[in-house]
Order: sequence, then structure tokens, then C-alpha cells
Amino acid sequence: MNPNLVTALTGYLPYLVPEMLLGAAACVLFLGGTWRANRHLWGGVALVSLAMAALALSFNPLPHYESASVADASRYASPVMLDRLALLLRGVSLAGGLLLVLLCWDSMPENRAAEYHACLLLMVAGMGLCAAANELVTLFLALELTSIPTYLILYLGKSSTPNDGLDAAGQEAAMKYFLLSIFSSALTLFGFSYLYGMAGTTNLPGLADAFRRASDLSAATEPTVPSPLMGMGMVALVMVVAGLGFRLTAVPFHFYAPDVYQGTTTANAAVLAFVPKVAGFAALVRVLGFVLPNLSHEVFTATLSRPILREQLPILLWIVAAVTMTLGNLLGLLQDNLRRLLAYSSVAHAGYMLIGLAAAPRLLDAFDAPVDGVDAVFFYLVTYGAMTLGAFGVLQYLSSSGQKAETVDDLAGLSKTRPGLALIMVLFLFSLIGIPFTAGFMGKFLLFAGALDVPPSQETTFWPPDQRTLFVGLALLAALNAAIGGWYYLRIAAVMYLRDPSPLAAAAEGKRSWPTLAAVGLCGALTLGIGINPDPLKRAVQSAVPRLTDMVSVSAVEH
Amino acid sequence: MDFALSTYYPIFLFLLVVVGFAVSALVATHLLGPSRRTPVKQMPYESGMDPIGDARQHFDVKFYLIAILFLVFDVELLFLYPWAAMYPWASGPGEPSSYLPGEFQSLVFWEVLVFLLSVVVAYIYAWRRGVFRWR
Amino acid sequence: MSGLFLLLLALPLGTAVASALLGSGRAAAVRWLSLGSALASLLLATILSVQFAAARLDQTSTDAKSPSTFPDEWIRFSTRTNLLPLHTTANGTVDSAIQFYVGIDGLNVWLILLTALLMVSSVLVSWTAITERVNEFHAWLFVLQLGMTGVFASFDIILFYAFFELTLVPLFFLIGIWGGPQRQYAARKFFIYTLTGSLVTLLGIVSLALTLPQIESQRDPTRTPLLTFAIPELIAKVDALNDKLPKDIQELEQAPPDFEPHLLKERRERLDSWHRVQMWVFLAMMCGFAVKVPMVPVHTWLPLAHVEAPTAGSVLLAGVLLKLGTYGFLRLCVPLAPDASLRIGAPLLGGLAVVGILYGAFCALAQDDVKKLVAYSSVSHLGYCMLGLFALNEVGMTGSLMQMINHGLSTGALFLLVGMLYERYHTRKMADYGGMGSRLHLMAVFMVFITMSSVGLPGLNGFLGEWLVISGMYDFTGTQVRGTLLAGLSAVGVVLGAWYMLTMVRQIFFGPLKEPHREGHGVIGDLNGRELATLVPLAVLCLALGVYPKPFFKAVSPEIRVLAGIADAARRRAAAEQSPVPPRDIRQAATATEKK
Repeated sequence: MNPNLVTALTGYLPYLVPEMLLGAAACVLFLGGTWRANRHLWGGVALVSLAMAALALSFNPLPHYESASVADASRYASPVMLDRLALLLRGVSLAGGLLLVLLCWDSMPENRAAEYHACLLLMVAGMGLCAAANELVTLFLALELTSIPTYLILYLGKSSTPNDGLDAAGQEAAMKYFLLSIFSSALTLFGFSYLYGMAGTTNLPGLADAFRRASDLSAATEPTVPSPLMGMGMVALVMVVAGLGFRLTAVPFHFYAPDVYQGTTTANAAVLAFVPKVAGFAALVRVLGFVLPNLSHEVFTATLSRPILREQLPILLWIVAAVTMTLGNLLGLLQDNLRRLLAYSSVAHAGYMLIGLAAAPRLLDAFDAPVDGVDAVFFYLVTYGAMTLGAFGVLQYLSSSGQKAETVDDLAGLSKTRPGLALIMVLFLFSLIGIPFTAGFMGKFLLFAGALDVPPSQETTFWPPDQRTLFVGLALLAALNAAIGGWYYLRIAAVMYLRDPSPLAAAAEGKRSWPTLAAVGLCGALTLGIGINPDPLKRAVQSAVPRLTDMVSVSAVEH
Repeated sequence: MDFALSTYYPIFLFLLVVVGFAVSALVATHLLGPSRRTPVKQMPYESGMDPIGDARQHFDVKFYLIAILFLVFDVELLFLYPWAAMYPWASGPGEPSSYLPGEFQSLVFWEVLVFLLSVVVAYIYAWRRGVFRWR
Repeated sequence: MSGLFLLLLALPLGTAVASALLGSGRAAAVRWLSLGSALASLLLATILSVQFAAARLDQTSTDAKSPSTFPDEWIRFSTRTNLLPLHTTANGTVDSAIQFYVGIDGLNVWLILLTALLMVSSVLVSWTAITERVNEFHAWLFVLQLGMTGVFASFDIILFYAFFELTLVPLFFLIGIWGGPQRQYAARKFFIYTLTGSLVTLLGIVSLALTLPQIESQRDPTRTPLLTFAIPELIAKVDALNDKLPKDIQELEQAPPDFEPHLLKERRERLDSWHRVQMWVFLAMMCGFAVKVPMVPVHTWLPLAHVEAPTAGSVLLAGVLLKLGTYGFLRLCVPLAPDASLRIGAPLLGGLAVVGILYGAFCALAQDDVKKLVAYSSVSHLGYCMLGLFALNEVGMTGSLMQMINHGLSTGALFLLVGMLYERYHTRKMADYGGMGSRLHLMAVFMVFITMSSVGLPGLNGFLGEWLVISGMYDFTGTQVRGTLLAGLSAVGVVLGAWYMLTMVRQIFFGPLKEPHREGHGVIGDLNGRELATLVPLAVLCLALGVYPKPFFKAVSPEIRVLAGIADAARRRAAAEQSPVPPRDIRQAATATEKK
């Protein structure tokens, strides 16, 4: 057998040690939890295993291929693609996992702690595999690996004893999420089946090649007639975007989020706000071929010359982004429940991030673009993770230390009872608004810069309208949306600082949850740190995402 | 790859006949048959036993647990079968020992062990959590 | 020396952190720390501005031709480091980045000094007025100082924007926590108004910076133009494009007959699209700055915020924060979109400024609340700033800049006085007062003096500013606006200004004594030493600027001349477009090409 192929099919295993470690640790936790019920013990084990996974990742970050043919074989045969993007996102998911373990420390009943942490570890492994997937089947399995533990934690979070069930809202949340998530998986799978049906392979670079050949062929034979793949391609595209849109909470697949976030615990809501988004964006970027192997320029440009991506995708994502951020922010204005409010906030932020994806294919024509769109998306994803997890962490800390933190009014006068916590919450809120010197500002800046850099169309027609106008309009819409969002974030800040505490809140001073506090502190440091010095993160993200513009120029030189 | 719709005409015809027969049978009985609405006629089983209680019944969750456990071990078997068929068992001279290239043999062996182990973990977990206890 | 300037930025930040950490228990310590820090800032700002002004005064040479853009060496005490590299060359050097680029030039030197001065006043006036959460109050106050100084000092548009937005946060808390009864609504309204506007401004400046290299590379594909966010470089780029794009067309029009018609069409389209870009960028920038100034239709947040804000907040809001808007127009809008400033800015904003002057004056006349009166007088006075600015000539822009300083001094002092009055009687209704001059002698003296400055008595600062603005507008030459009309209308505003200010003074301080009734107050004393220390410097400066404005003018004149030069170039282009050179018949030329 071809030795290159053997390397491609087996060589990736040592690089997946972090995920294997996490899986093994999850097994240990599942079993161990049946003997001992101790949240500190199992939380500690989860932290240690995350640290070990991180260590393993740092030992074996990127594969080294002896020759180009080996690399080529890996690209077309290996189920995982261990490029820099995968490395970045695996790192991000490990870091996110660390934050989540700390944040959720006191959120579940003592006897469920082990299972809960095991589920978190499995999700982290799933996110990592999602980012590394090089194949539709792997990608789908990785997506399920993040989803299935999520269903479990929705049940684990609330019941205090094994026989004590969830309340009605909790049950509704768990059931709703379960059913809709399954439904979205089915949609995604349906889209994948179309892709497979059209291309005859599940390998992503192979898929891209097949599309290129087909579109070249049809262009050569009948240049005026659109490729017959168009119709089927549209179905696949819409299905994949719809299925993954559920995970991103993109409108119109957002409707579960408010109910689920409100019904479940704060810690679970934090998990839901972070994990599916990372997995969803990673999967979307992989499937849509923005980031293909950093080894082949040819394949890459071929993907973009695919008519389906060049013309329809930006318009589709434009619409989804515009509707998502507008609806998320407008509905956020009406909310009183904090988790529900943050659910709409996470919908709105998904909309912002989609701007980057929508602009990415267009930025290919841009002159020397400072951002590519995709890098802005991942930059924003990290900042979003820091600030949203931080905000949820503050709420979780409050509820675990005995203070009610359900509605906006429950936070009244927090600046008097807990000044430090109020200050850091304000930091997260201002970051979510996008005030300078916080991470949120830099994230929005890069997204806006991407959208504003879209060059004008070559020929101006009435329909489709000029790209530049379209995307400047989108940026303008996003700016107005940020201002609308400012109103409800500011409302929380105003309640905390400008109102007097209710006597109940002042009286409630329970135990302190140090791990949650540590998570909040870490998020705060990240939010402020990225805001003041965004360069390291930007560098990391840009080195992870192959520069579209660089690639095109290189391939233009080669041909 | 010549696609001619005419090849499929028989199938379409068949479908048409099937649907047509079903619909026409329903319509015909509705039109032709006598209908008298008496309490006895309105019962689900006109000449059977009188129904007692609600048709919907609660089943104990224990049955579902058993069903799921069965599913887990059944699916395990399902995965093991192709593995067993493909694995290079000692075979007669002259025959290819396996469809599996030699480079993968040890890998696939350990993979199946890991798979079995994970099922064992699930089994022990279920045991410890008292799933098998018939309460 | 640039170290000193950085210290001016670091000091408020350090003080804010320190006073937040001191805790709510140690109010006295926080107050003394704040006073010390504010005085130190003032000292630093004075040293720097005196040095700057001295250097400018020494330049006796009145070189006939001022450069068409701002040379880098005019920015003194500058610090320039990369904050966020955006593009690196092949050999690893960063060639475009968002920079931390701060410094002092003629446009911002006096505003930075004003900020430091009003900070001292704000700390002093809050000495007894603020009793709750003292440490938080001072922490936010110094964050505000950092933001304000940062906006004035920034020479990178992203940094400018960052500081611009940063000022919202502390003021939100200052109004919201220590404000009047409607404070929550006022704080949120202020925040959202300004945020909405300035987000659009962000889009405008970012898209300008991104579009410039695109147009440059279209014009000359051989060069790879750099993306930059530094204001002087952006101005130079805009200037170059404004200069070259019409020349490209002329060159073709006068070219030998074998020129290519499609090339001419392409170049014309490029010029058109550049004008469109300028227009949109101008409108986008206008959104943020006009809200901040505030121009009339979007001014409604201002009276509310002023009335609800604590005295220190009002002083800084009126004295400094409103200038962020006018300063933004002066620093960014005019040089970065000169054609649009002339075409849209002068008619639209000049007109709105006059409307604001008159509308603000009439609203002030109708007020019974002293603080609201002063707030509306701010709307009116800021109208003069905008009017002078969009006269787009040397006189008008100098007047505008001077009016910014004047307004900071006199309205700052007015708010201080109103705050002191309120602290004594806890009412701001003018009808409650009467003849207070016989009770509060010193306060009456200061009130009359500041009022005179505010209404523009010759010999005091206000007169010079208003005079320059109106005469600048009188000289306005442009395409669509009658400068004389605007100047005449704005002169009416001066009369109205005198009317409402003097009415206010007469009502409160003269006539029969009518002390507001207040439960259980002891003897109401006149101004004490602390309050005198707050007011005297402002009054002295009002007088000094009125009688000896030379250092002020000398320091600002080179930059203003550059701005006026940019505006004049835009005028010439507009005039050339009005009466264009008859273009060569394209069709004829095309046939000539075909024959060949």
C-alpha cells in the first residue's frame, strides 16, 4: 500500500492526543462520580486533565510532513486537517473549557459534579475536532460530540437530588434544546448528503476540487448557461447554513435560545452561549471552504471560483447577518430576565460575526486588505467568549453565593454591596457594547474594517447592487445595532450603579465561590488585555487563517 | 448517462394506479356503503369488547432504560461484526489473509479494544447508578 | 519633554486607580490626592503649553507660503508607537498600524491647558458638594480627564475615536450617580445619543482610511500605497488626491489627439467617486461630532444632561466635552473632506449653527431654571464656534478656536457660580431669588464679570471671539451661501445673548432682596477661599485673553493657515468646476484615434 496513504490515515493520531486525553478523563469522571460525590475533587480532576491536554497540544502542535506528496496525501485522505486554524481553535476551546469548568464549579448538585465536568470535557474535545475536521463525516461526528453532552448538562444542572426532577421551565428548556438540536443536525446532514451526492467524496479539499472541475467543464461547454450544479448547490448551502445557524443562534434559528437560556441554570446558559458558537463557526468556515489546507493555493482559489460561493453565499450571509443582529438587539430591548437578555445579546453578536463571513469572499478582490473577514470572525469569537462568559460568570457567582440574579432588577445597587463585582460586570457590559479599550471594541473594529474594505463591483448593475454599497450598508446597520444594544446593556449598568440595593440583596451574603470568581477574573483580564493590546491575539488569528489575498497573489504568480 | 424520462413511465403508471386504487376504494365505500350512526356503530370495535379506560398508558421508565441498554449493546455487536469479518484471522494457504492492509492491523485491533472499553465504561456507569436495579 | 506629556496622560489614570483603591471611607484623603493630581496636571500642561507658545512666538518669520499640509515637525512633544500592526512588509517591519500617536500642536495646545485648568476647578467645587461615594466620584472624574486630554492629543484617528468614546463612560456615571432627580434618564439619553452618532463617525473614518489606498492604487497601479491612520498623513494623502485627480483629467484633455477616450471617462469617474467618498465620509463624521457639539436638531440631550449633572460634571461637560465635537470638525472634517466641507458643510452646518444661535438664545430667554438657561446659552455659543469654523477662512477658524476656549472659561465659570448658589439655597429657580447682590457681594462681582465676558464686552475674551467669528463669516466666499446673511443673523444672537444673561443677573442679584426660604440653614456666607481659588483663575484668564491675545493667536496661526489654505484650494476647485475649461470634443478625438 502507498506509504503516503498509510501516513495520511494513521499519522494524525499522535496529534489527537489532547482529545484522547479528554475522552479518557471523561470516562474516569463518569465512573469515579459513582463512587465519590465531591465537586472539588472532580472539578480538580477536570482542570488537571485540561492542563494535560494543553500540555499535549503544546508538545505536538503542528504535524511536519516529510515531503509535499505526504502533505498532499494527508490533505486528501486524512480525516483531520491539523493546520494552524485547527491549532488556534483547539487552543481556544481548551481555554474556554478551563473557564467553563471554573465557572460551573458550584452550579450543579454535589453528586452530579463528576458527570457535569465529564460532559464539559467531551464538549471541549468535540470543539477541537470540529475545528480540525477535514471531512464531512468527521465534522458531523465532532458536532454531535459537542451537542450530546449539552443535552445531558441541561438535565444535570438543576436537580438537587437524583429523584428530584427539573422544574417546568428547566424541562422545557432541556426538551426544546434536545429536539431542535436534533432537527438542526438532520438539516446539516441533509446538506452534507447533497454535497456528497454532487461531488462523490466527503473529503473537503476533494469536494472543492470536484466543484472546480464541474464548473470549469460547464464554463467550457456552455458558458452562458449556469452550471447545473447551481440548484443542488443552493440546496446544500442553505441546508448547511440553516443547520449550523441553529448552533450560531442565527435568525431564524434563534428562537429556542431565549427560552432555553431562561429555563436552565446560569452556568448552563454560559455553556450554551459559548460551545455551540465555537463549534458552529469552525464547522461553517471548514465546510464553506474559507480555510482550506494551508498547503494548496490552487485548491483554495478553485473553491472561491465556484459560482455558488462567489455570488450567492455573501448575499445569503448578508441577509442572515442583518436580520440576526437587528432582531437580536430589538428583542433584547424588551427583556427583563437577565439570562433571556443575554440570550438575545448572544443572538446579536452572532449577527456581528456573520458580517465577517459574509464579507470574506468579497475581500478577495480588495487591495491589500488589513483583515480578511474570517480572521475578524475568530478574533471576535475569542473576545465574545471572554466577555459573555464573564457576564454569565458574574451572574453565576451571585446566584451561587445566595443572591438572586434572575431579573435586571435583582442587580439593583450591586455597586454598593459588591463594588468589585459590579465594576467587572460593567467592564463586560461595556465590552459587549464595544467601548474602546475593551476587547469588544477591537473585535467590532476588525469586523467593520472588513466590511468597509469590500471593493466596489467591477460593473455596476441594478441587481445585484454594488458590493461596496451593500457592505457599507451592513456596517452602518451594525453600528446602529451596537447603539441599540447599548441601551439594554446600559440598563444593567444603570441598575447596578444608579439604584439603591434592595434590602434582601444587601442581607444575602452567602459562601463565596472562588473558582467562579477566578473564571470571572480571567475573563475580565482577557477582556481588558485584548482591548488594550490586541496585537498578540490578532497575530495569532491571522497566522491561523491563511491570508486570502496573499494566496491569490501567490497563485496568480504561479500560473 | 443518457437520461430518458420514458424509461420511468412504467413506474409512474404503477404509482398512479396504486394511489388511484386507494383513493377510489375509499371514495367508493364512502359513497356506496350504508351508514347508520348508532352508539354501537360508533365504537372502535363494533363487535369486540367494550374499551376500558384511556388508550394512552404510562409505561414505567424502567422499560425505556432496558430498551436503551439493549440498543447500546446491540449496536456494539453491529460494529463488531464487520470488524470481525475484516480482521486478518489465520486462513488457508493461498488465500489473502485479509482485506485489511497489514499496516493497519495493529491500529484497528487497538481501536476496537478502545471501543469495547468505552462500552464497558458505560456498562459500569449504568450498573453503579443503579440502572439494573428493578425498583 | 514628550515624557512630560505622557505623564500628563498617565497622571489622571494613576489618580483614578489610586482614589478608587483608597476606599469610600477616606474621603478627605481622596480629595487631597485629587487636588494634588489636578494641580500637577495643570502644572505640566502649563509648562508644555508655555514652551510651545514661546517657541511659536520666537518664530518671527512670517513665511509667505504656508505648507499645504501639516508637517510632522509641527507636532511637539510627540510619542508615536505601534498599537496594532495591520500590515507588515516581507522583511518584517510594520508599515501600517494603528498607532499611539499623541502630541501638541497649535490646534490642541490651549484646549489641553483648558482641560487641566477646569479639572482643578471641578475638584475644588466638588469639595463639599459631593459627600457620597467620594472615591468613586473622583475616580470617574480623572478617567474623564484622561479621555478628554487623550482626544485632544491624539494624532491617530482610531486613537482619537477610542478616547472620544472613553469620555462617555465616566460621564455616564458622573451624571447617573451624583446627578439630580432625573439622572438615570439623562445619563442614558446622553450616552445613547453620543454613542449612536460616534459609531457612525467610526465607520466614516475607517472607511476613509481604507478607501484612500484603494483610490491611490487605482490611480497609479505601480505603487503600493500604505494604509495609515495617522491624521497628518491622511491629510497629506487627501490633499494629494485632491490635487492630482483633477490634474489627471486636465492632462488628458490637453493631451495630443491620440488619447484614449475611455481613459478620460475612467478618470472622470474616479474623480466623481472620490467626491462621493468625501461626501459620505463628511456626513458620517458629522453624525458623531454634531451630536457632541450639539447642533440644533440633535441637541436635546444637552439641557437634560446639564441640569441633572453635578456641578463638576456640568463644568467639564460645557467647558471641555462639547469642544470635542467642534475640535473634531476642525481637526478631521475640514482637512479630510475639504470639498464636502465647502459644499455641504458651509451651507448645512453654517445654517444650522445660526439656527442654533437663535434657537438657543430664545430657549434661554424662556427659562426659569438658571442651570437650564446656561445650558441653552451653551447651545447658542457653540453655534458661534461652528459658524466660525465653517466660514472656512483664517479669521473665522481662529475665532472659532478662540470661542471654544472662551466658552470653556466663561460657561465653566457660570456653571461653577450656579453650582455655588445652588449649594447655598438648594434651588435653581430664578423667581426664588432677588437682590442677592446685597447678601453675596463677591459672588455678584464674579457673576457680573463672567456675564460680561460671556456676552462679549469689549476688553474681555468673549468679544474677540465673537467678533472674529462674525467677521470671518462676513468674509465668507463660497458657492452657495450668503456669508453676510449668516453673519447678520448671528449678530442678532449676540444681542439676544446680552438680553438673557443680563436678565438673569438682574433677577438674581439686583432689585429688592428676596432670599429663597430654606428650612434650617444658618448664616449664608459669601464666597470662601476655596471657591475664590476656583473662580479667580478663570476670571483672570478671561481678562488676559481679552487684553493680550497675542500668544494665543501666534500659537494657533500656522495650523489655522494650513486649514485655511486647504479650504481655499477647495474653493478654487469648486470655482474651476463652475466655469470649466471647455473640454476637447471627445468624439472628434476618438475618430482621430481610429483613423490612425
